[in-house]
Amino acid sequence: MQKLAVSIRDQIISYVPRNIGEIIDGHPVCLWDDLEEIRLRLGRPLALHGRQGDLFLDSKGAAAAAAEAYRPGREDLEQALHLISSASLYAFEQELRCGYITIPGGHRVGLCGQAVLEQGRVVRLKYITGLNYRIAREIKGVALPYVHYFIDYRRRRVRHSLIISPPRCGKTTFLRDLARLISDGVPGLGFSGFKVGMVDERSELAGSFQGEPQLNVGNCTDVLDACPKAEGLMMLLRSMGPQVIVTDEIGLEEDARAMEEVIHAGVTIIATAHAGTLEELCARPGLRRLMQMQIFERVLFLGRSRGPGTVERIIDPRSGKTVHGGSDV
Amino acid sequence: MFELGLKTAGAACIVAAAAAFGENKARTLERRVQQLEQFQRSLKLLATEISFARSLLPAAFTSVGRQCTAPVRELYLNAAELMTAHPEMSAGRAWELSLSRIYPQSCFSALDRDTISSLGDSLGVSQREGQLKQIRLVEQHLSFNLAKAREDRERLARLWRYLGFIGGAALVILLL
Repeated sequence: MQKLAVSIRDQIISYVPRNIGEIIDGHPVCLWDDLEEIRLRLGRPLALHGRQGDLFLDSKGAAAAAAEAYRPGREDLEQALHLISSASLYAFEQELRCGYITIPGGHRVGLCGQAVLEQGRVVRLKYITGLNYRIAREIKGVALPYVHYFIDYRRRRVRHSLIISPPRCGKTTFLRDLARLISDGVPGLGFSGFKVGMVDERSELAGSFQGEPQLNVGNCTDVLDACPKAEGLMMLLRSMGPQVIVTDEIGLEEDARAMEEVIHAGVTIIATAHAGTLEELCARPGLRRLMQMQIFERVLFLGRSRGPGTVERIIDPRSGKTVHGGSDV
Repeated sequence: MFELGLKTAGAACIVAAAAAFGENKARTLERRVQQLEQFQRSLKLLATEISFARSLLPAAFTSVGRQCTAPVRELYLNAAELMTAHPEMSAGRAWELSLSRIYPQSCFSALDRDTISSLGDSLGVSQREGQLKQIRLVEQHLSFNLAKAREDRERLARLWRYLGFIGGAALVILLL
């Protein structure tokens, strides 16, 4: 087992019911090296998802067809919930409302069950019937070949930038590494670090557990964890004096309004958004106005043409020129 | 002369022992009140940990335990230790085990034990509001126990002191 896999196993195993941990460890080949998800669904096969694809395991840890696979029971799910909440469900009300709990190491456990509504809004989940352990892996250096595109060397500042892609193309991983590089600086590329503020609404960027970032987001990065973006942007602006604010998955109009405030306060913003093309981006009401105002100086397109996290193109939307890959807009 | 001295010394020993027994009983009644008051205070601290700090139970127990005195201190710290050492153990089980450990050294009555034990029933398994309701319920029961303990202290503590001394003296008279 590789060193990283050992560390990931150690982080995850104490939050998985003991018998299921033994099943995973019982598989003849070490699964931790490229494991991405562990799925526990009530009365349905125990499923593991890795880079090689999906796999069902029987009670001894051997690969099995769905009919022979181990099927987690109510007790397994209750035990799992007990472990991931450290027997303190009350401390995870907000997370239960959002449908996930982050555990040490920045890994997230997605939850499925029956939603409890109050005044038409989800207040929590009950009768948990599905858990998905999503293993967080930070890829250090993924943004290094591109970081210089985001720096305005002449004015010694970071450019307002947007990273876009369809889901599961590595936006968050790229943004995390970019934030780390901007925060720490890259002397080899001729810039020292900037003060970075990070609004991590879904605890995905920094993978915070009890507010403490579990993933490396840089030495000069202040993380506002589990805070709504629009509110978080203003809080960081007022309280932490950042030079750059980083946030994930913008899209709502209130996010765009808060971003405008940040930009007009002289702070650089770097964000990600779901969109496959520039046209799709401009079709989103929350982002259209920002694009029309030509706020962004760089838009980076991620794709999967050479695997997740492939930088397909970087453009300067103000001039319409492509600064890396592809052809001009 | 020697015999009289011996008898006097013996009598004094009997009276002192009986008085000490009475004093011990009286102090137990006083300590019960103090320990119940301490536990009542700890519930307020626990409610704050749950509602404001939203600490995880092992951390909440540790924090509350550190602000209390024995045996309430040990009650919380033992429970925190058990939960940390055995993550699969439910909070209720850890609470019950910790209570059984400290109970023999405490001055709690069987009724107090039941009240304290009832806190573990829903610890950690409900939402914040549910936790606070459970704490309030235990507080209500505890207030009743505390009123009874104070009454016992007022009524019985002096009685035990007198009884100890008088009982010792009566025994001496009977033996003479």
